[in-house]
Amino acid sequence: MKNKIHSHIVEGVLFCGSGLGLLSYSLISYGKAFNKSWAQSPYLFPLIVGAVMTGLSLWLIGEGILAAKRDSQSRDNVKMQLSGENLCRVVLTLILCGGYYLALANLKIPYITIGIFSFMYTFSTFEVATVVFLAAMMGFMGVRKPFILVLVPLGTTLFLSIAFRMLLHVLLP
Amino acid sequence: MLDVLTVIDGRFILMVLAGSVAGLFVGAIPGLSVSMATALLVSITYTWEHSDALAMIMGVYVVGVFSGAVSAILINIPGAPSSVVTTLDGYPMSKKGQAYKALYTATIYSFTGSLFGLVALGLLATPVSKIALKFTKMDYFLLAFFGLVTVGSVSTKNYAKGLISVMLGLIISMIGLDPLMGTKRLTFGVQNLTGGVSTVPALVGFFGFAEVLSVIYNMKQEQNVLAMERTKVSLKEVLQHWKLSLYTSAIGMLVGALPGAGGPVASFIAYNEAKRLVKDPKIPFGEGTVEGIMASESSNNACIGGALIPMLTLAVPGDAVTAIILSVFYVHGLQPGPMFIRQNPEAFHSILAAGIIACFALLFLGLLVAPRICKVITIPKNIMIPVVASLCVIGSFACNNRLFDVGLMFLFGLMGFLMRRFDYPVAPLILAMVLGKMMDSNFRQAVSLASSAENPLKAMFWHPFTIILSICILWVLLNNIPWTKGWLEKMSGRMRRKENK
Amino acid sequence: MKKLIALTTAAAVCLSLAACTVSTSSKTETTAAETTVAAAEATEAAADTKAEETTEAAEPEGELVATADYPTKPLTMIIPYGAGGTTDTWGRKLAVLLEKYLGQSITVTNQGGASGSIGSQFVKEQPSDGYTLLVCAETMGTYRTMNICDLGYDDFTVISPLVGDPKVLVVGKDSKYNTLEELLEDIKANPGKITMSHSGPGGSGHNQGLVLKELGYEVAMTSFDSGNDALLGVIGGQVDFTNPNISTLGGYIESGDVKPLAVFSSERMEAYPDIPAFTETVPESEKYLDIPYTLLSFVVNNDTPQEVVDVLKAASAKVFADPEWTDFVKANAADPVFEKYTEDAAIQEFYDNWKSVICWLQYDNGVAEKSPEEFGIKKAGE
Repeated sequence: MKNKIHSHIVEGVLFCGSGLGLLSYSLISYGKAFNKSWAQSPYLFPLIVGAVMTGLSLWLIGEGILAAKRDSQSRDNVKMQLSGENLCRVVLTLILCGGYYLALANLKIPYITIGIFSFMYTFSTFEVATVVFLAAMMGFMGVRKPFILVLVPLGTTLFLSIAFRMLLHVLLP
Repeated sequence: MLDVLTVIDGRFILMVLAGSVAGLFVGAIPGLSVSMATALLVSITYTWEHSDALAMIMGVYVVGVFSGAVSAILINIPGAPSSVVTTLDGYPMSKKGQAYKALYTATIYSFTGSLFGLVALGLLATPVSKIALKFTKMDYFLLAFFGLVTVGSVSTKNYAKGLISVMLGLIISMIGLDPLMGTKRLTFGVQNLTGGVSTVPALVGFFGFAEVLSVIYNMKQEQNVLAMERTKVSLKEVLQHWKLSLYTSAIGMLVGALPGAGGPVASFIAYNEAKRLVKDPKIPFGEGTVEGIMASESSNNACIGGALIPMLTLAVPGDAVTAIILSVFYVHGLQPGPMFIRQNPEAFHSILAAGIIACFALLFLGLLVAPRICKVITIPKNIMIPVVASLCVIGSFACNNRLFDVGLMFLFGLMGFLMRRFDYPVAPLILAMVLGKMMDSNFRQAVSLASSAENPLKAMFWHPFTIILSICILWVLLNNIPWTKGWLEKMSGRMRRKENK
Repeated sequence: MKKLIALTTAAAVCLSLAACTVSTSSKTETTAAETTVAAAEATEAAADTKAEETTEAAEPEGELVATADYPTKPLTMIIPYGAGGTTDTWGRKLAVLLEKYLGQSITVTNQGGASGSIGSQFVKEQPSDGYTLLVCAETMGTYRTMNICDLGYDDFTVISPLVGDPKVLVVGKDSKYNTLEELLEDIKANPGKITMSHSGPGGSGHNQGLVLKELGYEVAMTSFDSGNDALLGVIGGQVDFTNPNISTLGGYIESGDVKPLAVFSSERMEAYPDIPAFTETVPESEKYLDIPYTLLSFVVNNDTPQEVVDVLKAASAKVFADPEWTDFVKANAADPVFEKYTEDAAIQEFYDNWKSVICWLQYDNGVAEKSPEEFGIKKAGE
């Protein structure tokens, strides 16, 4: 691996960028603002946070440089923080969640109400999407028993829907 | 004190118990917050007598604050910001199979903490409110800042990373309308960001969803099913820290009495104090030690009594839940203020009695539920994790009824996951986010008040609390920054050598 | 086998949770029954926005002024200030009494911050179906010129102005000032050095500070989080003086934590006849003091259907006649603005006059960012 740069330095540069960004944001906004007095200006606090952030990132870079020197002497490998194969799984999970999000946002399933004795149960997009999402995610994580794949999603969804939609009047999609 | 007993009857106790059971579940389910439940109760109880309404709400409040620890310990999602500290040691314990011990400790010390806070409320309400009045704007800012510099130090080995996490939290808190002028900041034209970032999506994302991603990332290395340790936990063993717990409860009560700081700050300061005072814990702090849970739970529950003090005596709510209790008073035509305890003793006694009954309900429910609910961790991960993911989604949706928060939650989850991989603690970020708005407005008010004085610096810092807090902050900073720490040690070493001579 | 055990425990957990939820559900149902009209299902809530056209004859039930179409589900009232302030106290009182005449429960929610603009903006974004009510303070009239947000009174339909809450100039109990004269003299001697806390930019406290400035008394003003917060700053000895509304002040005068110096009006209050009026010391302030500085209004979105507005107007008229309300007004020494302006035209004129005085006051003192002329607000007397 020719990855010689210590991860602290990379992170430090990243945070330095955001600190400086915040600094310039607050200075520019202050310049544009109508009320010219720092005492109660909304940009005073961002300015300070930006400055501290920049300072901290310099500290981190400094530590990185020191650590890199030590590492090159002791020939310790910089440990890789993210491995490709594992990351791939995380990305797939995120895609799955993204799909769930889009389904909640865009699918419009009409409200269906079932009456069991005097107990009215209403369900819609949220319940359908959640059952599918839970089953898909369990399948993805290696659950193979069919009855778990069916029962747990249904049970969880039923519980969530009763608690949130019926008792708390959350306007679920 | 004995007057308190006059308000208690069977119906009153039943109301408290009903509230307690509801609080247990509301607090333990991630995404359902105690403030949501009390807000709901206000609309349900508006036709009731005020003692009934207060009884039920106190039940929800006391037990709800405790049960935030349940999800913090079992699935690493704190039920509320004040349970964030409990995750630091609670979750490592349940990973080792000691979930029962963790829950047991949390129950016992939540009980003692709540009781301490309420007794203090009964005896010391007026003097404590006098202290709270003496806190200047600068002191509130410094207190929050003190909380942040300690949390940066307790939650990570690398202080710079802890502080960077604090700054990230402050930046997130700045998004939206600024608290004093109402100017839009950092919204970049996104309408949904105008109201700011709510706590629930951040809490659920940074802890819950980040945990989901971490488990998936490590799926091959970690075992699928956690084993349970079948050990008996003895009360004596758990109670051996009672002296320390009195101290952390006192911290919790006092910090709770300062509006705006509340549970999260109290629990971090208490945790830091416990870490400092317990010289050689059997297990290091942060890797699953009972002292950590003790400090966090006793202080955040003692906050309940503390937060009620300014609410009753100054009509200033100490946190979100007391703000709602305040509105119950108004609905029932009671006006809290300096004369409240004298003019409406029966309402004051209802609160005290309900709180104390709720403490015992907490003890009973906690001991009853702990051995059962801790089996949750034996559910295989590949079943548990998808369920947790769906809880994250619904929890973040429910707080504002909008999907935008779910998207934010996913984003925070990814951020939290990356931060964990690169050894950045997330607890400081959450605390900073919760406190950011309050720090911002108090700081600006302090600057503005001082700017008309002849000597602005003196006007800002020359108050007893301000000086104490500034010294505390400097001490924590100097003790944690690597090069000043070396310098401090050298100094104290030299001092000692001189003494020896 | 292990998995099976795990599964049963999971099921047991689920069951125990379900058991709890059932018990809570029965509670909700009883309260729904108590509100006389059956609670609308969440389904209807979402689907019913169009169905509102199906008008049927109104069926008044007892005292209720509700019609068959409105209100059919619980309402929400937004208070754009924190709990415990003036707006909150009055809004909640109104909500409790309105419930009586509308036959539906009203959930009061505080959405404080930024001079009330956050909560008002929230209401504006809600559907204009009359289910989200707003009790706003006087800042509504100045959001545009202050460049806080794009809202104004004309974005809402005023159901009725509520009350004016008299403002009292107070100092802490240990303060060196004992009379208004002493305070004013000291301000004259040290311009810009005497500190005053107020509830927020563009709010009534701030406006009062501007009036002082117009009269030649320059003070150092700092914006606090709320009126109560500003008051505590004075009691805690961090600020020299402030000007809270009498409703937040009540208990503190009684407990002796503050010294009231003057009521910021041209007349003394009935409930506190010992507190002198501001004009007694400074007669030239008369022209600024004949309008209420803290003015609460009960409003809904301006494109709300007329039938709904009528129901709300009828309900609030009943509230204003209710002895519980009139007693509350008296007990809080409030200025009963709701009695003076009942006709639409009178209400309109009252708000126009109010806006012109306050907006120009702010603009002339460099507090407002935009000229009131931009929004068609004429200067009084022109």
